[in-house]
Amino acid sequence: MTREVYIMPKFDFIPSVLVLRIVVILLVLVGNAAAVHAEVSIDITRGTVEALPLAVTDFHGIVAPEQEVGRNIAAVVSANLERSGLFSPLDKRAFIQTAASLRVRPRFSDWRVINAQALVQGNVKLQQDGQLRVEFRLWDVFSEAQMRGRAFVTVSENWRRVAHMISDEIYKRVTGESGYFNTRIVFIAESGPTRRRIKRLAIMDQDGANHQYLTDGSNLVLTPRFSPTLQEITYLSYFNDEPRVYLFDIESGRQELLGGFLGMTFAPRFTSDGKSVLMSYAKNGNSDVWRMDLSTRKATQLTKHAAIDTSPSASPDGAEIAFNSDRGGTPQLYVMDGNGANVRRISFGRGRYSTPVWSHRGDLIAFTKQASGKFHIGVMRPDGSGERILTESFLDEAPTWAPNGRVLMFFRQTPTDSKGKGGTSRLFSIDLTGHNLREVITPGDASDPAWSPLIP
Amino acid sequence: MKITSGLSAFLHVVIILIAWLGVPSARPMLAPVASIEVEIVSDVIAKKLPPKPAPPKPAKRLPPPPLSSEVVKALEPVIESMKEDKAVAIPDVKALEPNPKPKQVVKKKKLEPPRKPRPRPKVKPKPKPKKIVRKPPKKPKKNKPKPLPKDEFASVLKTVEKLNPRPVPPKLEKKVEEVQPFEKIARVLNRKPTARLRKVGEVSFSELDLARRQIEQCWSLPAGARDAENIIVVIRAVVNPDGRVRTAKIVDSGRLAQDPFYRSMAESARRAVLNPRCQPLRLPLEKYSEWRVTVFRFNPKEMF
Repeated sequence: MTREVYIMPKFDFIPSVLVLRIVVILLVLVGNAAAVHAEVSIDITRGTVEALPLAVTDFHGIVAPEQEVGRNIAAVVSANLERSGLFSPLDKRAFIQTAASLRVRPRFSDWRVINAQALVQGNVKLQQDGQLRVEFRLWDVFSEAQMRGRAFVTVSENWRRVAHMISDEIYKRVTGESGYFNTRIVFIAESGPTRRRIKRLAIMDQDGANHQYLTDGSNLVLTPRFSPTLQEITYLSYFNDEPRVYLFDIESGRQELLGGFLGMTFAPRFTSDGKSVLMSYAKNGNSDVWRMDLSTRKATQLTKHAAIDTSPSASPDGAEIAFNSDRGGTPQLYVMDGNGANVRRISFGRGRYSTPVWSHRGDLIAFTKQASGKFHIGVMRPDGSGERILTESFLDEAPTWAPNGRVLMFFRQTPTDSKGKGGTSRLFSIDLTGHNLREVITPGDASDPAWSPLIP
Repeated sequence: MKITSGLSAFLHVVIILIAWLGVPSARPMLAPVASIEVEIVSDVIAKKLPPKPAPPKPAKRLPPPPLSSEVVKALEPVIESMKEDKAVAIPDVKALEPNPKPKQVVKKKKLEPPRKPRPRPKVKPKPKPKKIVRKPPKKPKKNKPKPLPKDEFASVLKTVEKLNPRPVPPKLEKKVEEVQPFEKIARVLNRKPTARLRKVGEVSFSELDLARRQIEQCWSLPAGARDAENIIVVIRAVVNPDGRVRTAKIVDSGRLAQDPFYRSMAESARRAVLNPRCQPLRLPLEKYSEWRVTVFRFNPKEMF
């Protein structure tokens, strides 16, 4: 408006053609101003929860070995993203543009046609020094802009890890939360007949690849837990027929008895700083929660109660500890301060609650619940509110959180029939929404999974 | 010299020792992975490409050049330089643009001439197809006869109508009226003082409701996202007269870099607005001037 006032008088004296032009310009200005006023506003208050359709193309390579790695990486990335339930990778056969021409630039119309909303492309190059160089780009097909681009250099056997890192990059860029693909799982691999069951500590990538046994099965091993440093595992093993908590170094394979307790120690779990281990110690038939400082090896008693206190799990900041106790008559979940003070019960639902596990992002505690003859995996807030049951089966147990706090893994047993058949034990994952239940493929029966932090 | 060469020799030994001692502890599963950002060059690409009105078409015709070894060669250095040499990469990318007028890159001029003639014809046709819908209105300005544009428009509307049942006849007339440039200007002028009063009456809530439901169907937000219910994303869309979204911008773009959750939701909202599956928007065609700019406010509060 102010412009009008200034301009008009200025050109009053100019020949009519010019005046006309000015008037037109003014009218356009006015028109624009009016257009601004004429905006309509629409509130969108609900959407759908659908997986994002994306195209993961084979990474481009020039020579055959590069092309093979390129195909393999694309397959791993695609499978990872698909398993998350948040992405739906499109069938490669529908792709119009080739990997080679993608290097020039994506033809976005070709990708819109097949309803891809995001596009993943990449290049693989085996360098002269033997190193593998993998580069990827993530494109937003609708806005035709690159969302993420990154290159990785590593030894060529490491391509799988690169694929996991690329998956994490994509997941993080699209969802805003860090991923969980470049992680490993330790679990108890079970084999043999029920009476002489062999239980071995095993480790594998989050997608089931690179499976290997860490122990030979001569000693019974249970409830492994990852240290936040990724270097160590703490678990329960038997020594002189008594359960004891051990530390195990993944790299060296060295096992160490933790603490000189006179009696059973069990249910160990690292605190989130990795500096101490919380566990249960049964002294004179009474179990309480203890903390063992790993640098000083000094043990501190945190609960003192005649009831069974077990399964401690610290909050990410270490300020609080959730645990399981039957001090109220049935096993329920409790939270106390990091020093054992201020104990309060948080579970009040019908049934028996056990194995509380604090999420890495601190907002939820996962647990096992037994009610009406069924087992469930559920979550609740640390104050006990917002309880949600995610699974139900004959036997679901031992939840463990993905590092991003959005996915849980647990093991599920099926009942044996009258002929002794069935009775399998397998690992499953479920996402926080309660959808997307997936079996995590293991070579045989498996139980007690523990999810590692993200590998840096 | 002696000191420096001695120092150099010492450092070499140290490096060799580190390498030697470092190897045994490196396990294949956890072997180090160097990761490098390759965003910069593509940002350049991204910045340049959006302004182009119709990238699909140039892209379709681009592939032939890539087949020639020269173009591929020209590209490779770009990719190579992405990580090490950001500065070098930029001019290379420019050279790849369909409309390369840069004076720089003297050597490449030999390569470019064959390209130049191609892109230019391409560039002109590009805007046309997109604006096809708009052109009918423009044509009448030049070619006075109204019947022709009417027919053209009718055909466009019919196709639209097939997709989304709407009342056609009144729109046709009004559209043609709007086409008259001076009338339009006059209208705008007349409307201005009472714009606010009229606006409410012109596009009713129920008329917007159809478009709202359309976008809701295309808005897929990440499941289980934290605090999603507390985030409001505003997308400002410029819509073509046929209801197809021309551009969609995230209004609070400053927050994108700081808040990954906001960015995730904002981008999902923008995808919803741009998704061709949920277009053309079912808005009253005769009131185009009212919804040419449509602001969508996304907040998933009803989902929690």
